[in-house]
Amino acid sequence: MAVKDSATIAEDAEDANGSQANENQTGVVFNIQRYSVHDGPGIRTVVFLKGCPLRCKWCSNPESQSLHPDIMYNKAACARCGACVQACPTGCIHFTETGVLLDRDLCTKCGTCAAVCLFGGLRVVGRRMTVDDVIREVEKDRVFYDRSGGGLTLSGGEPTLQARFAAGLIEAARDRGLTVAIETCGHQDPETFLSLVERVDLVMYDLKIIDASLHRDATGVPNELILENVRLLAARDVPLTIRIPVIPGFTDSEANIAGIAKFVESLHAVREVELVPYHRFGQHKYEMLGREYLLSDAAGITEERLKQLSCILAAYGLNPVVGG
Amino acid sequence: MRAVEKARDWQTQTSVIRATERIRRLRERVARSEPSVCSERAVLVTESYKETEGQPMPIRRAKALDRVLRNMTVFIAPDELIVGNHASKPRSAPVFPEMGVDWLSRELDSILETRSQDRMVVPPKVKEDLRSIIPYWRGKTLREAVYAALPKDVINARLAKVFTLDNHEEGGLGHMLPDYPTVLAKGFNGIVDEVEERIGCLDLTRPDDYEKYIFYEAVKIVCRAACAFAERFADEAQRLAETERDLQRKDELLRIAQVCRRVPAQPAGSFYEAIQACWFVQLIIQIETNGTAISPGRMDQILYPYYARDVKENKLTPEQAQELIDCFWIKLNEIIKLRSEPATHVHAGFPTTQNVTIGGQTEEGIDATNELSFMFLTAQDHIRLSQPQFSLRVHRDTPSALLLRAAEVIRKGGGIPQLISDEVLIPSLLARGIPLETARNYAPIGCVELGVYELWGRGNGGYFNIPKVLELALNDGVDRMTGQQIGKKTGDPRQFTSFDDVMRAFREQMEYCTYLLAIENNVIDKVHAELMPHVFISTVSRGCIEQGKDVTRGGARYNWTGPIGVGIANAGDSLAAIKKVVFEEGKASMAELIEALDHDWENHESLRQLMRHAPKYGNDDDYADLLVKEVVNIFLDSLKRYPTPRGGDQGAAALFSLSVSLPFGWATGATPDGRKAGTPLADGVSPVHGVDIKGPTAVLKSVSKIEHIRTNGTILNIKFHPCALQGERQLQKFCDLIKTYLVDLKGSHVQVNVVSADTLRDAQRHPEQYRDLVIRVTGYSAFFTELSREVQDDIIERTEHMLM
Repeated sequence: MAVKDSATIAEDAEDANGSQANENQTGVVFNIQRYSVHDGPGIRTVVFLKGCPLRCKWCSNPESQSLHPDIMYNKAACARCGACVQACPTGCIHFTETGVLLDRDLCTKCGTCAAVCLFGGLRVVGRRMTVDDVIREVEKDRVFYDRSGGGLTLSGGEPTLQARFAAGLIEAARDRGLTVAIETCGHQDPETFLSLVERVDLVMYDLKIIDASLHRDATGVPNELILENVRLLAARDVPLTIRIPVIPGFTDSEANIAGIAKFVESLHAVREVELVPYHRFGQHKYEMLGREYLLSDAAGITEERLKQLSCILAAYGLNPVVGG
Repeated sequence: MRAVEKARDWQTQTSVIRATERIRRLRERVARSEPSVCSERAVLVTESYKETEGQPMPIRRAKALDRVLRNMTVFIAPDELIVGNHASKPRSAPVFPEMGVDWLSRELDSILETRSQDRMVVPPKVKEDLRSIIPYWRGKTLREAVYAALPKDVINARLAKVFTLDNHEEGGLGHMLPDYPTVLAKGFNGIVDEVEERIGCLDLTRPDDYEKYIFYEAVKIVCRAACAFAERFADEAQRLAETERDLQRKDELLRIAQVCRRVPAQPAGSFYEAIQACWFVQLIIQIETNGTAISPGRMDQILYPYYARDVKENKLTPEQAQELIDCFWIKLNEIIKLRSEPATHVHAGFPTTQNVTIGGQTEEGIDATNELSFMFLTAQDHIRLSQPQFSLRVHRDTPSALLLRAAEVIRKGGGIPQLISDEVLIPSLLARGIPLETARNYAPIGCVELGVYELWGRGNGGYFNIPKVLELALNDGVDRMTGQQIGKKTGDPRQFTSFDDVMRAFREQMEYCTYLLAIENNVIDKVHAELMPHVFISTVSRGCIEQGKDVTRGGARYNWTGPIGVGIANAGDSLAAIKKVVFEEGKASMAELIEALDHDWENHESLRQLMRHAPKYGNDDDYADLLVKEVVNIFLDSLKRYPTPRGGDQGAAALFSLSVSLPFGWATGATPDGRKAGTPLADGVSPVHGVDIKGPTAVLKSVSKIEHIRTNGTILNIKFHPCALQGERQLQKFCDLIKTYLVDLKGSHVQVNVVSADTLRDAQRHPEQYRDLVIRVTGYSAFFTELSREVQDDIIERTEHMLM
């Protein structure tokens, strides 16, 4: 699949709201993962849409954040063959002792380097696909959904950010009798947000930090809109589960978990709350993007701690589940 | 609904039965015993052969077995409840000099104890014994007779590793389901009575009837020998009981004596007697022959009537039954085979592939699950050694409780049980002319080859190296490794102007190579029929007594020969790469490709990468998948036309590889899929390691495009990291995945290897072979090999924790 230039993508993202969905609608996808077993009922295919309004410090998918394609460089795979150095139209790739170095300020993310790389050293993350392209890939596992009660899950990034594309995917999936789940951070204009999530079979909604200013410090945005949207959603008849990423030093305080529990309890619409323990499997992706990983010193979350936090949720009449 | 609840109850009741201390001790003992060689059988058989020269072969074979069973060492080890030893020690291999001695004399002094694979201890006395008998056997063995009869072209192809049949060139036959039910119902005394009756009806003036008479006399000898063997254990138990001070053990020994006085001579009257009788049959077959894959089959069905009656009459508790099953499970691990060094590379790790099967359907097509099905899973959970090869038959109505319990056992590692599909395998037997009720009672033999009691299928009728055939097509019939002309002249590949030219050459080489294989298969059948009647096996194979004929001469009701295709993924991927890169994209010429293959890709790394980037089997991409399917069909079509001397044809081909993917790889030059010369071939019907990067559903869909129904079994190995199976919801999804493959997509077999910490360490060392390894957690997934070393180490630690 050819990669469109960044300007086009930005335009598409800007006029993403409002317009009628159709199957020629395109959007930027950074991964389609079949046999996903942690993202809703049954066996599912998760379509990861690129772009996120949040900048969580613990993000394990940093390549998902920008709406634009990114170039990832895997030093371990690089053969230092020099094909990319030769091919780069802006001359932003240079040899080093152990591999190559991208001057990311000069790089236009055109993808020429990745196209000539035979060794998997350089690759473009994010490709423009039509709704039809995506759905055809998703339909390949229909036989597994039928037996297991699975289907399509939209994830990201924040899947509602490419709203028109997401709407196209949801409608196309429904037309074909596939169930749709969505994983969202909830940071979106309420009208756009509701118009999308009302059409799905399950919303998996992230709540991270209940205190507004702490939320802003950790994610880059305040949480009013997020809380507002979940309230609106709870008032509708859409199956909803809440997920809390348990991040040491950010979200794992008893006060925070109790605060979220109290809030969720007040919605009267949710029973299941999933605790998703922190992991640092995303660390290498920061290196591959030429970015710094901010949590390199973070400790893990013990099973005991997860049990304690589960107890807090249970005290509010919620049904805690520990995610994998 | 009631069946579902019942299954759930059985699951709950049986999964909590713990392994007893006795079982732990027995298990430890067998796990720790060092493989060794025992000369007793060889010496006794030699004595017997010397005495019987000139007599009819079936009688000589029967008398040889009789001699061994009446004179070999018998022992009852502490703690044992099921008794019967294979040789003078556990995991000690008897020697079969009648099959071949050349390799033995070559390896005896130093190689056996130092070789890299399946090393064995050979005590000095054993060496001395074996050295003394070798001269007698020169010129008399099976292997010499086979090689004397083979045409030169066949020998050349055989040596070039286009195919290998070492199993049956220098070893006895196996691959059978012993008819336990008949032995349990009649006892060997009953079988002797039946044979006497049949002898009474013969007219010995007729040559055919005289042949039958000889056969029946031989059957009587082995039946009586089997009973005498059991009596010896009864005597030994009695003797031990007399001096035993521990009262509980004394009782146990007296019970053993009682059981062995009754079975296998008389019909089994209890669960204990039934399972002990099964073991005697299982054991004696493996003293008669060193053939592999003597498969107990559907033990949950065979033993259930005895279990149900004993439990109902309060003579047996589920815990007692479990302990006996566990003992049987351990016993299967005491048997090992002595093989030549080249053969150990084909069958590495002493596989005896004694296949025990549970689940599936009754002859009426109803789900057959019972308590014992669950208890056999619990036995596997308790023992976890290399035997048995353990299979669960899955069909549309398999209770989810049974599949879930199997998944729990699988999740702890080891890949056992393997899961096979009634929905494919029963129709496949029907297509081969087996009646419906018989087909529904099938069980896999050895690895996955299909078996019914009435069949002599000559499983393992040659591993066949499909990428080597492609090599011949791309080298005008010349072996790229040796420069020798092995195949037909199908034209200079540099002159091929279309993909059709490639396919034409491939088809012609395939026709020729399968023709050579068919010759060898029939020579092997013929020599076995003359020199190596398998009298005891024939006694417990349905049809032979009826027909008065040995299995090697067509005594079974159904006959065929089953070769095994290896390396379909390499062949299919290679064809896809040629089609794409050379003929569609024009990025390389045939001449450049052949040049690169001739030089094992040296200085052609860019071309190699281009070929590696072409579509690959295992990603649910028709481009490569359909070429793999075509490769399989070309192979199957070319075999179908050849008859066997026993009846039936040679087209019952399976697709799997055991460890032959290594030695075949060593003998195969660079292949156009980017594989380097001498490296392993892909295993079974699995994709080439590391090229399947779209996850398990894509693999299962790719593999299901092959027509499994046309095969005699396939083996698919898939890897899972335990994180994908943690939690009950994930486990249920895993069961759904498996059932979709076996029931909806009509895949015939899948074995799930839960990735161990050691595998991950290997992935750190050889990332290119593990590109498919995915770590999945909520909202995130990554290829293991792309993670930083530090995070990889972290995951390895977690993995160890998960599998504990």
